Amino acid sequence: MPIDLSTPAGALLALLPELLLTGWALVVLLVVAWRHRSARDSRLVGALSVIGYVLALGATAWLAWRGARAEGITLMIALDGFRFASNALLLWIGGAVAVLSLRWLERQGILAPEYYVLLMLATVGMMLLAGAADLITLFLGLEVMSISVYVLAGYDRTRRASAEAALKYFLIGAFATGFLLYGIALIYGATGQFNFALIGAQLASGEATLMAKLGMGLLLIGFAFKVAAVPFHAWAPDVYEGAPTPVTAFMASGVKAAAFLALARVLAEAFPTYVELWRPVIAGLAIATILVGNLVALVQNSIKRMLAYSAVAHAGYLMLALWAHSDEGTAAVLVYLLAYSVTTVTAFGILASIERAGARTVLIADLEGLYTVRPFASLGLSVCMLSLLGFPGTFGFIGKWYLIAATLGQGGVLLSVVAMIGSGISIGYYLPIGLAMTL
Amino acid sequence: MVVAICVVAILVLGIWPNTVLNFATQEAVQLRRTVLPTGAR
Repeated sequence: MPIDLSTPAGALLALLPELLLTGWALVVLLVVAWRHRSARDSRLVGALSVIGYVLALGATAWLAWRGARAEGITLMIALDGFRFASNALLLWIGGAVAVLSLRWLERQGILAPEYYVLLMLATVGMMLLAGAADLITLFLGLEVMSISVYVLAGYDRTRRASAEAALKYFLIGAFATGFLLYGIALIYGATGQFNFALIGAQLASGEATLMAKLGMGLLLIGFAFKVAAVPFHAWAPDVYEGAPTPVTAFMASGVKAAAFLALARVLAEAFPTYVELWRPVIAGLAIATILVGNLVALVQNSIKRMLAYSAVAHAGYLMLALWAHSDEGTAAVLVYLLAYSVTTVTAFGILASIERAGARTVLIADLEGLYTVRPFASLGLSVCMLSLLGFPGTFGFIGKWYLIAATLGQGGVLLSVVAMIGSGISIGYYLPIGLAMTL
Repeated sequence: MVVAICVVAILVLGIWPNTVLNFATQEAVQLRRTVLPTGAR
């Protein structure tokens, strides 16, 4: 089904999943206006938000099923299988976090159902970010996502740590946005284009200018902040620890996934001619991120902090797939993000279920003997840890295998060795959790 | 319930990932297929 994106009707059709979710979020906000007092109201709004995710997923599936493709040049938003797969991934994450939040919010006494509206709007931002075909849509998506997540991080208003997390995330996020915006401005200055494909064509046809190179560098720094790559990762542990647990799950999986999907598209479509320039940068970031993330995770005693550093390390693994700059690499980004998001959302879901009201930081020592009290929760958490480790027989192993295969396919032997060393180090902090629960 | 389904998914997809791998490969390939119409710049 060819869609002419230069007409309003075509653009609206192409944006159907995002528009449906936004419209549904506004309807839910109206419901919240008079149903916001009891736990029952919160559950109702949560259930309504899940329906919104299903509707948006249905719209994405419909576009994919009809074979929606851009007629002529792709303007503003991409219309390809990668966007549909990204949408499905992000909607699943948003929906799963909404379901996990239902009981958690009630148990913690946070009865402000606007939470679900913010979650839906953040998901809309993530979908726009991952599906953007030009730098303006990318920036719009990033801001819609970020502003909602800043509020979500500080949603537990009675806790100082939550407010601190929100403030830190806001300040660092604004800083990262500045880098990104400067990058966009320089790229526009160098090429006169915002569209990824047109930027790619301009850069391929002309000499590499310093302005374009600087713009690309600043864009990479902005993304590195968002995915918490070393040395731009310092905000992640405090923010992950302070934010409400379901929000941490959302940030660790959704925000990271959206940023990586967008970065994959930007590098593949706008900067393929600069591959020799950005590859060493990505390789350096990947090595530092894998090693620092894994080594610092070893000495954490709070599980959320440990998972935050583990998330930093996983950002490093994902960078290998970007470095590969091949079809296999891009496929590895999708597979790894799916494996990682399923595992992370599950792990945080289990953590949320064992958190007591009022005491919202789970220490590794708190898990001792969990197997005797909550055998299924402890088994589930053990499976998640094994999957994050990349243990054979789990989805995490498939993700890592695919990723290393894509890296080796492009001659990245050193990077693959670093990834395997990183996985080896991670045994030191994933396995003690399993042991603490059973011994 | 969701958590239980996810745990099962982690194990099932770990043993039988073919569908996901084929889907990802097929969709990811499209990313690099951006073709500019003649005359566009």
